[in-house]
Amino acid sequence: MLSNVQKQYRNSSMKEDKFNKIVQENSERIRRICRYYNSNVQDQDDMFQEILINIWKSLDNFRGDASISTWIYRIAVNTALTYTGKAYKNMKLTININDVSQVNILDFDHDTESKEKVESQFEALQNELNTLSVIDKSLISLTLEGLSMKEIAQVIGITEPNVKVKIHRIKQQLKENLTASNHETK
Amino acid sequence: MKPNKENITLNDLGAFTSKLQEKDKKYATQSKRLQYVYWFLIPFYLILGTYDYIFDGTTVKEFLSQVSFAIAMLVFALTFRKLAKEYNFVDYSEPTLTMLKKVVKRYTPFHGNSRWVFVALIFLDAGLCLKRQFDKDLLHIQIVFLGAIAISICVGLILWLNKYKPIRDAAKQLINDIEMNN
Repeated sequence: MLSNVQKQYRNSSMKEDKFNKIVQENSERIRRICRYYNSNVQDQDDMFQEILINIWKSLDNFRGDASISTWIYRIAVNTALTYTGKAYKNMKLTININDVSQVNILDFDHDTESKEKVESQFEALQNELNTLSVIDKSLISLTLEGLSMKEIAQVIGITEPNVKVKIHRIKQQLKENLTASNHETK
Repeated sequence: MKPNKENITLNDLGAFTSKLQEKDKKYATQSKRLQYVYWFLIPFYLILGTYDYIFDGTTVKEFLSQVSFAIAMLVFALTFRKLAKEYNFVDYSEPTLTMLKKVVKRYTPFHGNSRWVFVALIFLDAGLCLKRQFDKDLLHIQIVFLGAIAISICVGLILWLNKYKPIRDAAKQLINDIEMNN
């Protein structure tokens, strides 16, 4: 029979192994989320650490009801929303041109567009993204991560059709604003 | 648990987890110590009251006063234990909407669990009123006691307005954004 101290030690060691495994397997995913919400490297590192702390705190509650990636995204998004705290209204969504190319959130036709035009579209898109509400930014960041509507619904806690409507509306709003700003520059 | 400014890499993950474990242990010890104070005071009041009643011939009123203090300590102990758990073990792995609703609940003054503090205060007040040593009249005790409570509530509300209301309002705003057109 194991004593209480031995049991505690065994549980603590198991928790540490589980934590290390999760972090090693999802490190890049967490780093990407941190990059979306912070342009400054120091802030990215701070948020990364905060997410790790919250993974550690929530580890005992992981029952496997959701997939591990959904679970990680929940912690990452929730931490991002609460981490920025006072400054959350000024939270900027920083995207990489490759992220947009990969997921192509606004269905840009990159093959036929010139490089310069794509870059200018990207810059305009970056500016427009930062006019979105914090939640809309989170939805876009999850879309950029390639999550399905069902997975996004599980992360945010709303229904799948609702996620579809929201993302459709965000894209529509972005397209309209980008078209309007294009006309203005012409 | 405030993060330090160190940059965590996968290589020093072991050291990081050790720190986390140390902090968990430290917090658990601190929390237990606070609990011990309450759990010590409960039997203390009961034993003292019973001893005085049996051996020193104190009145039933005084005995009931000690019982009231013990009940107040019990309610304080249970309430603070629950509140400490609620505040220190926020589950970040819940869906965002659920987590935000819990934030709003947690940072709303006089919500669910904190109402039990008032129950404890009523027993504390009853204990004070029944206690013999106070030669003051009942009204005087009430004025002093309720005055102290009113000042504490005012200080608490000022702190809440400056520190916690902005968090609650921010969470409410995020909930509105999520639920908009749901």
